[in-house]
Amino acid sequence: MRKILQIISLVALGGTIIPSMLYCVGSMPLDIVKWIMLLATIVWFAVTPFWMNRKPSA
Amino acid sequence: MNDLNNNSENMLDPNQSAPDQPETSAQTGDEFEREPVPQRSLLGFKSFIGMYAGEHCAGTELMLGPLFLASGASAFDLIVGLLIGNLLAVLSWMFMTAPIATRVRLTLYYQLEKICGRKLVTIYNLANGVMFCFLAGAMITVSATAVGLCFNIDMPGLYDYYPNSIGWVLSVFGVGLVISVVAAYGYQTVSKFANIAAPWMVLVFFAFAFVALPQLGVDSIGNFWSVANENIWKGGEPFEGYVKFTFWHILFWSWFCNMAMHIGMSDLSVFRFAKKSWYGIASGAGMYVGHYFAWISASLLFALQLHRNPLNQDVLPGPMAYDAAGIAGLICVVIAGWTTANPTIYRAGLAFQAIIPKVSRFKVTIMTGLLATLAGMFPWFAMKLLDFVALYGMLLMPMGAVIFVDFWLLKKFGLQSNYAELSRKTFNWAAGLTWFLTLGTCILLVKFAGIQIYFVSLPGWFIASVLYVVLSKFYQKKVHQSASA
Repeated sequence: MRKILQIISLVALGGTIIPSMLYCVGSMPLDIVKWIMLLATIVWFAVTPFWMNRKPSA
Repeated sequence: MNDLNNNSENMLDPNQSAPDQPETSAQTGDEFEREPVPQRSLLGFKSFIGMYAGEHCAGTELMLGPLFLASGASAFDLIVGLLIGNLLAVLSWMFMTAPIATRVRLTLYYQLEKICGRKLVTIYNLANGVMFCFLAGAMITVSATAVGLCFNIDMPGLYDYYPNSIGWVLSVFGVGLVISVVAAYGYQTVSKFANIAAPWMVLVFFAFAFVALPQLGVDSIGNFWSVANENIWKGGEPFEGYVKFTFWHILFWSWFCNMAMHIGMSDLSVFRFAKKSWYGIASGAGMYVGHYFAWISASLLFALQLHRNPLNQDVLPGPMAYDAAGIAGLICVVIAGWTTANPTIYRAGLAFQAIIPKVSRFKVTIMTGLLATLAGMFPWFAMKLLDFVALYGMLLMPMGAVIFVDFWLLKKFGLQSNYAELSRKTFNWAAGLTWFLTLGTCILLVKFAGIQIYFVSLPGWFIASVLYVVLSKFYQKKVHQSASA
């Protein structure tokens, strides 16, 4: 479970930065970038607290 | 990162380990407040990387980047000046702070008490607490610009040093009150939240740059440098009322902006947990993520605003971040200000509580938070952050010189280290006078010798070092004479 949550968090981090990089190279409009960043932000804060700062169960 | 989460509160706060703060011990476990950190409690290199990267990507970075632009920084001066200045800061942590920290493994507070005596440390705490309050005020200001945008409030401009509208005052008060109450009730929860937010926040800062660059005209790596010089960091005259920042200003400013922590030795409390002194290099994570890329990103946001409307010189992180990254950018501004103001208020509260130990931590933190909130209502602290941070470093720098000289040099001059502890004095006048005379000399140098505040701490450190040796020579002799009489 922990691994899955970590992967989702990683995807959220990707969603935070990759759209802006795509915008930088002209492959994505800014409106879409902003929406994906917001979605990624929600996912990051919804998922990450369930594994970060917590000790992995044995 | 998890190692850090368990220990960061202990590591970060020099005052936390003051002996008259039993609540802290209860909260955070074994802190080794009056003893060296034992071998079993030392931390690995990764803990320090995580701590510095998170700690130095703060709300105030969103002010500082634009203020470099307002100060007329050119592309070369900013990019190379920051590169070298931050390197000097890392070297200061590595070769000045960490070697002492890993040898004595004591908190700044206890180390200072041994050298200076309890009463002088109390004055130091007061100065530190007040400066922390004002710094937290600037962080609250940053967060309030995001809240102000949501409620369409009339926000302060670059030249507004006083509260400019009722809406602004209410906005700052609301943000400040929440931060203060949370700092008083749930410091550890916010500390954990800050750790969670840190990686996301760093990436949002990077996203600001990626969004701003094409809008400023950068369409390939090849034309970055020409656009940077022509459209972004154009150099030339600073904004009215701002000092022109040259290469040397930027180098010295970025070196000294955390002077209280490295040369001023606050981070003795952090590196006492380090296995090796070279772990000081971990500060580079904070310097190059926060004080390099984050500042550059923030200045790009302001450059974009000026590019669109050269008359709009308002440095308001909320609207700038919203414009670049939408609601995620706005959330970043609120969280960046909140998560860094929270520990700052907490630390200021602890510094004050060391002075008035009978008043409860809760009350002191609330009062401290309200003081920071009051400061936050005055945009001066945020709009003049370059000057304020330079002043902060200068104020605490002499005590760093005292610790450095006391540890490395005093015995070579036939004098006693940790003299207050040995002589059972509560106020080491040699250290006290070193502090006050150095500050007086620095102020005179700034006022009458034409040395700007951004540079004065360098000669100031040498002045403090020489003064401490000379004054100790007289003071220790005098104390011995009165003891033997």
